Parts: sequence; structure tokens; C-alpha cells
Amino acid sequence: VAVAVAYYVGVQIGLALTFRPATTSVLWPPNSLLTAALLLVPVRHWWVCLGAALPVHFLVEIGAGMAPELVALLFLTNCVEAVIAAGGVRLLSDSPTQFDTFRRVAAFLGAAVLVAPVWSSFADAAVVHFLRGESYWDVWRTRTLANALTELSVVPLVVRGVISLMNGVEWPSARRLGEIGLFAVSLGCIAIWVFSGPEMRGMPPTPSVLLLPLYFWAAVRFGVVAVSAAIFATAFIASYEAGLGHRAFAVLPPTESLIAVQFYLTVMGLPLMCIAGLLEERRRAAFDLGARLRFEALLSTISGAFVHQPLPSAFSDGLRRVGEFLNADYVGLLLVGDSGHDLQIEWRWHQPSAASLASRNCVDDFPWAFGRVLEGKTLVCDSLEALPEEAMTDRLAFQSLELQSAVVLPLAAGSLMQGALSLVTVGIRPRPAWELPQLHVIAEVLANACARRRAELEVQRSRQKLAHMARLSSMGELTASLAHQLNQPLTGILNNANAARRLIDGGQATIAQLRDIVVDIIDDDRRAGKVIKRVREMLTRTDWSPVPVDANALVQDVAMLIASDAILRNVSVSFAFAPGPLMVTGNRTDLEQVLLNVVTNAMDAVADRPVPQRLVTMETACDNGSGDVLFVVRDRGAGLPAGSEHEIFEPFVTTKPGGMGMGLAVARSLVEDHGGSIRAANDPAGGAVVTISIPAVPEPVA
Amino acid sequence: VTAATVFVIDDDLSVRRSLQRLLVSAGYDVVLCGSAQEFLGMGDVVRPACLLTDVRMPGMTGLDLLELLRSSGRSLPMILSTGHADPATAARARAGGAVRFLSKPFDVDELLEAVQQAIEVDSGPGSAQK
Repeated sequence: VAVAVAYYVGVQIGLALTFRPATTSVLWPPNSLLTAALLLVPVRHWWVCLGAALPVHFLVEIGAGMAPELVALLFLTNCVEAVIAAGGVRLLSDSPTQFDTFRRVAAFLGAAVLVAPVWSSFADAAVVHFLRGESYWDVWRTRTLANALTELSVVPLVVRGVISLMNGVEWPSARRLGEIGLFAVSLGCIAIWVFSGPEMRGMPPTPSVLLLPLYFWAAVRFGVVAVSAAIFATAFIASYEAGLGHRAFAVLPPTESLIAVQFYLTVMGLPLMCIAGLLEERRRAAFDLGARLRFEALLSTISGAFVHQPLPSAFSDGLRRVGEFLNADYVGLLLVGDSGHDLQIEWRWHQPSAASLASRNCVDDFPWAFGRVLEGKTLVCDSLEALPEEAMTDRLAFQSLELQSAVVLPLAAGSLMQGALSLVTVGIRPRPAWELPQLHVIAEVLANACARRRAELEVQRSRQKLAHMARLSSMGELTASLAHQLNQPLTGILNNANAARRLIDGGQATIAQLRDIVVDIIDDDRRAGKVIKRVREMLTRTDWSPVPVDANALVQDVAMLIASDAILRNVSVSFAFAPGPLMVTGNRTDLEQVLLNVVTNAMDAVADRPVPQRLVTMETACDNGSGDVLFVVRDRGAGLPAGSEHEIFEPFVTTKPGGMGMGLAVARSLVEDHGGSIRAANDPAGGAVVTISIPAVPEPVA
Repeated sequence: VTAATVFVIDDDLSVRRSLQRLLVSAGYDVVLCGSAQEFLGMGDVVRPACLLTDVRMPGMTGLDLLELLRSSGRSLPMILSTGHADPATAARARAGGAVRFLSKPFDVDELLEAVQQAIEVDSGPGSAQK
């Protein structure tokens, strides 16, 4: 029906612009409308379009008083033209309904504007010549020019117009609308003036050249369709003015003048539309390049953050940037749990509009979707229909949360599933253009970061385990000392209790005696309790909960732990404390472990010295420059082998027979956890010096 | 009858005092020393007597004392005690001729039996009178 109505309107315009007694019209839209229709519908439906046009053609042209056989044959030639035009464009163009690249414009111009009118006009002219006796070449020339001009000016306008009507089109900005309006008014005024045949002194006889700047305006600013529309408008005005008897080319007779206008418009239109196509192509390429650059910038910012920032902030920052770039309302990152079969939300970002989503657990809301993602599939859901019937829970959640669209991508590093990335828009908003290839690249960056984070967590976990092991092993080394420290009070208690029993059994016990005994038992028990408490403190793996620790108190604690060991090994350990409380932040047990490892090493270093030279000193100090708290442990042993000052902190490097080589490695890793450093050097006075430096707690500002 | 004397050497005051109470209750004379050096500085010893010493002490250890007395010919029956009895120490104690090697904390019967055995060794016919 649409085709029939359009054809009717086209025929009416064509007939209105036909100059009697000629059969052929100056501007003949029906053929071009047929061409446009054939471009828009699939080839298998062409017969419907042609069939719809047939009755209209007969009705109108017979109504205009033409002979039936002429009408029939003319319809045939018109159909031939449309079929050649549409078929040719379909053959040559990669997208027949678009006119926005040089290739598409050239295909259209070649097939629809040049070949189709030229060839169909041979047949048309023959029909008119034999049935009406008009001059063959006159008819051919008029019809070719008229149809070429009409194809040129009508087809792009109609095709794009219909597609815009069907898909909806965004309104241009007010500024753009203003420019379009100004252009239309300028074109109308100048065209009317030019074609009303002005005769002015000093004016060259071809004022139509004044239209050229306007066409360039259209080509540069508005594109191919605008050029074609401008030419159509000009042709219409020219024909209309010609009908009123005005001539654009004053030197020519009216009909010839009009044909000159047609010729002028067609020849000018061809290169102009090519230029416009080229410009559109370039403009889009520039835009695409810009978009790609912005995307690259986004990618490099995100991946840069994973290198330079702590991972948690890099993740939350990255999600925000992705969300803003893709205009999403909610972005969530889920990680695969330890079992490998479940997903947990780890980070999320959302616009205020999606606050309701932030409190939900999307894994519970969309079990089907996340199940598929775990299998490595990407899910794009732009409507409820994208979710199958069996995903009932997902469908309900999609509706009740009023989601507009959702995308969920698997995050896989190598073949290992790391997690998932979900992007959601809510409410009524223009549908976001999810760029799936871009999302896949983002997903890859995030997946790698997830893999890195997993590895880091594992390293941290195994480091904690190692520290714990090292603590156990150094406890093992202290066992003899600890057993002694415990057994002394236990021996005292047992002996005292036995003595008391014997006194009581012998009937000679006095209250004063028994009281003394009980007091001793209580003291010994307390002493044993303290030892147990210290051991337990050392062995309990407490998680990293930084607390303020006084460096001097720390050294005193370590002194108590090693006192008995030092006695046994005949090592004299002396201490020097800097005034103050010297506060650092950290884990007390870890710091104790560090000092214990270092001082045990120092005692080992002097073990083979004569007793008077078995000297170890522990000092606390404050670094004047940095304000860091220093722990300095000196021994009067043999010193470090030359060049091994750094090596000794590596794991499994040891100078002791039977040593594991873990003590100092663990010490370094614990010190670095506290943001500090540990270094070793030889003391010019003999022996080695190990200096541990830990950042001090800034003094509260009074 | 003069009571036998037990010399108790231990660096831990509480252990010394508890041993004193126990041994006095069993009828022995008890002399307490805080270190091996203190004992060595005491000069002659009234017999019969024995020595009950801790192994692990600052300065001279119980084993050092055992070996010193043995090499200087001032043999006195010795009972060694330690809180951390490792085979090497036990072997050294046996080789040095210690009467007993006790693990702390020890049972009262075990201790008294060891002391009695040591005193018997000191007052027996083979024992050298000083």
C-alpha cells in the first residue's frame, strides 16, 4: 500500500511537471520511488512492490488520457529501470541502503543514476517513438536526464527517510537544527531567485552557479542525503519556475533551458555526492579513531593502575572507569571461590540510580545467567526474551529490578576461570551501545589482574605459613632453654609439696613452716605460668593487626626469652636503650620473631669464641634523619664473609652447619611487611652488625 | 652419730630451698650453694657426704664440676639433675661416674633413694677417706 501511495504521488508530481505535448516528464519520481522500494525490501518481495505499483500506474495514466498499450509498455520500461538500478546497487554496494562511504555512493551513482536511466530509456524512447511518433533521440535525452536526476535526488532521501522512520532517530541539537533551517531558507531563496530568470546588468548569463556554494555546504556539513535533498529541491523549484515560464538560461528556449538545468544538476551532483560520501567516511573514521583512542586510554589507565596502585583500589577504580566509559549504571566484579564452582561479589560500582542493586546478591538473583558464565559463556540480555523459559528466577529478577539491559562476561586467564564481570543499566534510558569486543578486552585485563591478585594472596598466605614454621623451628631451638625455665619452678613445687607432706606425716609440721612452703609454691607456679604464656604468645599465629609497640619493651621481652639460652651458651648479652618510648606500629609477635632470629644468629656467631669474647649487644636508637626506630644487634664473632651482606637474607643461605638458612630470610620478609628494612655489615671493631629500621609512629601533634 | 651431709648446687633459689626442706625432713644435713664455684670455695667436706647438682648453670655446669672433681681426685658421689635430659648429657654423666642422673621434676622417693645410695657409696669400705 505504501508503495502504491508513493507511486501515485510520484506520478502526480511527474505529470504535473510534464510539458505538453511531450510524453516524457522533466522530473519523474515514480521510477526512483520504485528503486527505493526495491532497495528496502528483500529480492523475494520485489514482485509485491512492482505489483502494487501496476494498478496505480494504469489508473493515473489512463485517467490522463493515454493509450492502454502505451501505458503498459511504459510501466514495463519503468520497472526495468528500477530493477536494473536496485539490482546494480545490491550487486556493487556492501550495504545497499546506506550512502555514507565513497564506495556505497559510487555504487549507487553508477548503477542507479547512470546505467539504469540510460539503458531503460532506449526502450522507453522506442515505445514513445513508435506509438506517438515523437523524435526518438529527444525522448531518449529528456527521459535519461529526468530519470538520472530523479534517481540521484530522490532515492537516498526516501531510503534513509524510511529507515529513520522505522528505527527512530535522535533529534539533532538546537544549534544543528538552526544550521539546517538556515541552509534550507538560503537554498530556497537563492533557487527561486536564480530560476525566476533574473536579468541584471553586469550579471553573467549563468546565475545558477550561485547554487554551488550551497551544495558544498550540504556536502561538507550534512552529508550525501542532504546533497541529494538539495538537488531535489532545486530541481523541483526549477521545474516549477519553468512551468511559470521563467527561464534559468535566458539564451535558451524554455524547454531547452530546463534540460540544461537537469544536465547541470546531474553532472554537478555526481562529484558532489562522491565528495560528501568521502567526507562522511573520513568523519566517521576520525570519530571511530577518537573512540578507539579513548578506549585505549581507558585500558592503559586501568592496567596501569594494576601495576602502580594497591590492587583493591585499582579494582574499584577500574570498575568506576569502565562504568563511566560504557555509560552503565552498575558494574560488578565477581571472583570464583576456592571451590571453583561459586561466584562471590568482590567489588562493585554503581550510579546513584542503581543504588537498589548495590545491596543485592546478583548471584542469587540470576542463578541461570551466572551458571552459564561459569561455563565460559558471555551473556547479553537486552530484553526479557533473551532469558529462556527455564530461567524463571532470572526472569523474575530481571523484571522486578526493572533492568534495561545486562551483560555478564566470564573472566578467564589462560584456561583458568577467575570470575565474572557484570554490567547493568536500569530504568528507562536510551539503550547503551555495549561494545562487546571492547568489553572482552576489558575482561581480559581484569582477568589477568584477578589472577595476579590470587597469586599475591597465595604468596602472602605461604609467607605467613613460612613465618609460622620458622617460629616453630626457632622454638625448637629454644626447647632446651624453655624446658629448663619450666622445670625449675616445677621441681621447686614438687619438692616443696613433698616436703610439706613429709612434715605433716611426721607430725612435726608447724603452721609457719607450711606457710613458707605454700608461699614458695605459689611463686613457682606464677613463674611457670609466665613461661607458658610467653611461649603461647610466640606460637599463636595472630593475623596482621597493627598495634603501637614500644621498641624498648620489645627488646626487653626478647631479652627475657633468650636469657636462659644465653646463660647456657655462656654468652653475655648486654642492652642499651634509647630514652623514650620509641613507638612503632606493627605486629608484636612478628617483631619479636625478627629480633629473636637476629639475636639467636648473633649468639651462634660467637659460640666458638673464648668465653670472655662471647659478647652480643642489643641497642635501640632513633635515626636522626628519617626518625625511623632502629634496632641494632652486634656480635663479636668472625663477621660476615666479604660480599655476603645481602646474600645472607636470601632463603636457604646459611653459614651455620645444620642451619636451614631461613632465620634471616623470614626476618627480612617480616620487616618488609612493616615497611622497614634490614641490613647487615661488618663492624670495624670486629664482628657483625645487623640494623633493623622500622618507620616510627608520628608523634601526635599537641 | 653425725648425719650425712648433702651439698645442693642449683642456681635457682626456689629449687635450692625446696630441696633443703625435703632433705632436712629426711634427716640429712644440707648445705646450699648457688653455683659450682661457691661449692669449690668451701674447702674440706665432712664425710659421709654427697653432691646433688643441677647440670645447667651459668659459669661452671654440673658436668664441668663432675669432671673437675674427678680429675682432681676429690671424688664425691654425685647426683646430677636436669630439666632437659638429652642422651648426650646422660652419657657424659655416666662416663664421669655420677651415681644417678635425675630428670626434673623428680619424685621424692626417687630422690631420697638416690641420695641414700650416694651416701652409702661415700661411707662404704671402698671409699677414700679424706
